[in-house]
Amino acid sequence: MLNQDRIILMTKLAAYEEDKGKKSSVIMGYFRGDYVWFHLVKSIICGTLAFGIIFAMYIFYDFEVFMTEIYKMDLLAFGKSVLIKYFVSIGLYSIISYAVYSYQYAKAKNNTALYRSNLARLSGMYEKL
Amino acid sequence: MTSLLVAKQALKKFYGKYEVYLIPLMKFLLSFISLLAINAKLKFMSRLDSIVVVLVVALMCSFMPRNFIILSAAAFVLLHVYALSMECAIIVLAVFLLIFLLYFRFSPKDTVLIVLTPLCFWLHIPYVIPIVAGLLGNPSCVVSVGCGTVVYYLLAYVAGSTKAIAGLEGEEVTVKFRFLIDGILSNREMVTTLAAFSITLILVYLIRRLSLDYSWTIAIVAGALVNMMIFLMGELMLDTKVSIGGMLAGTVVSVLIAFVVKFFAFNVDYARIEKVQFEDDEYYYYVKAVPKIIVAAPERTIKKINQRKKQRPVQKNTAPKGGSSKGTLMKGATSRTGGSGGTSSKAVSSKATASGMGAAETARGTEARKRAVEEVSSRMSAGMEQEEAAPKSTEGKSKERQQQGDTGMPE
Repeated sequence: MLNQDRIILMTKLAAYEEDKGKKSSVIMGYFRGDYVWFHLVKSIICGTLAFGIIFAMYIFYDFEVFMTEIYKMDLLAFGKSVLIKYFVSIGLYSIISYAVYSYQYAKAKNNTALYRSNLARLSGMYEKL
Repeated sequence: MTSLLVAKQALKKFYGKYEVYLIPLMKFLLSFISLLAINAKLKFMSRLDSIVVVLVVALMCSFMPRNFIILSAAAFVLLHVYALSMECAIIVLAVFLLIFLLYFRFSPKDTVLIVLTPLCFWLHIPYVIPIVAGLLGNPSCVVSVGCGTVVYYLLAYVAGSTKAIAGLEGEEVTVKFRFLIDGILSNREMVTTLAAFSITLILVYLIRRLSLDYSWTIAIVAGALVNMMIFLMGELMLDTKVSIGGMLAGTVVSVLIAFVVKFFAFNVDYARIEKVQFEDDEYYYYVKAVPKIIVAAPERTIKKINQRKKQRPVQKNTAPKGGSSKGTLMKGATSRTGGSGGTSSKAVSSKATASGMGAAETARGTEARKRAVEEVSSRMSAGMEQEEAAPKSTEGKSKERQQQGDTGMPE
């Protein structure tokens, strides 16, 4: 006999496996610290590239002035100010990344716990038969 | 209203049934329209401005992942802009890279907004984007809508200053570069639009999440009004030169589209709200349950008044053996008249055997049967009565044959 409750539960489980389940299973393959740090490193690399692009555009925007003043300016101070800006922007971006990936991990953990409890419920339904 | 609800249910059912085909179709349509719009607005590379190229790329997008639409649209834009000027292409590439590196790593599902936002700008209904994104999405959509807005104004500026860029042909690269960046960053209309869209989206999201009756309707109307107010303030303070008539018309159309979206996404009956209160060991619960408006689609039953009679299997047996190409009617006719010619007589003999002739008769063998059949057919052809002329063994066959002929006639 077809059991309507069981079919509904199995459909929900299958839909989860197809959609969010794949992503959640990948995330749950890591420990929380590993997952967040791995993505944080990726974010730092991407942030560095983005900073490089913005810096290059800034230099190129006023390239002639920059080239004429490069001999007069204090290069150490200039480098220091650029580095401070880099660390501040990367720091901000890393904090945002940390928050986003921590949230993603917590969400995946909750989803997986719910999925497992539903699986246990389904298994209980079969045992009753 | 009921008919609309029935249509909605039918549409949902249709979508559920043909989802496998509809999703690629929608991806195809989105990419096709986007690429056509890019080609219409940036006509710098004539090779890309061909329906064949657009069709091929759109077809590829239909079966590739959704983000492929963004990549192909970005590639189209870059190629067009590169044909105009390399400096423009560098700036556009830098903007795209920044968007991809900084934002789309986090929420790749929002990428569709970056295509839809410029598309709605070109259709003169950009105000629909923050309202609908606030209704269906979350506050993080602000960044996607913002990126889409920046892309639109970037492309609009490039398309609008073609002559100026062409006039700087003899100048140095840095001059062109400065001209473009200044033009983009000093665009006050873009700043106003970014502010208006961000505030509208967050406001719509916050209101529609409230536990208010008609919260979605209030969110749509409030979002549209706030959006208009910010644009008017931008007009007064920054002199953005926004067309007020166009803005009003676009807002009205956007509100109508938002109501259509609401009808499909959140259609509830506030007249039948149920409020319940209960408790367990740890909490008190104050629950407000709002029923959805659902109308079951009427089922159509087809009643057959003149039901076609079933054809007997006997007739089916005679058809291939008769070898006639004239159809059922002719086969039935030959069967009733007893058959003239070799094919009919074969059919007769097979029927006689199948209808349960005596064991003695069937044991006579093929020779005797052939002789009997030949005798019957010769008498039939001479115009004699079948019953009189047939021997005992064939008498049963002819009677049966007659029966079969009577019943085997099609209606």
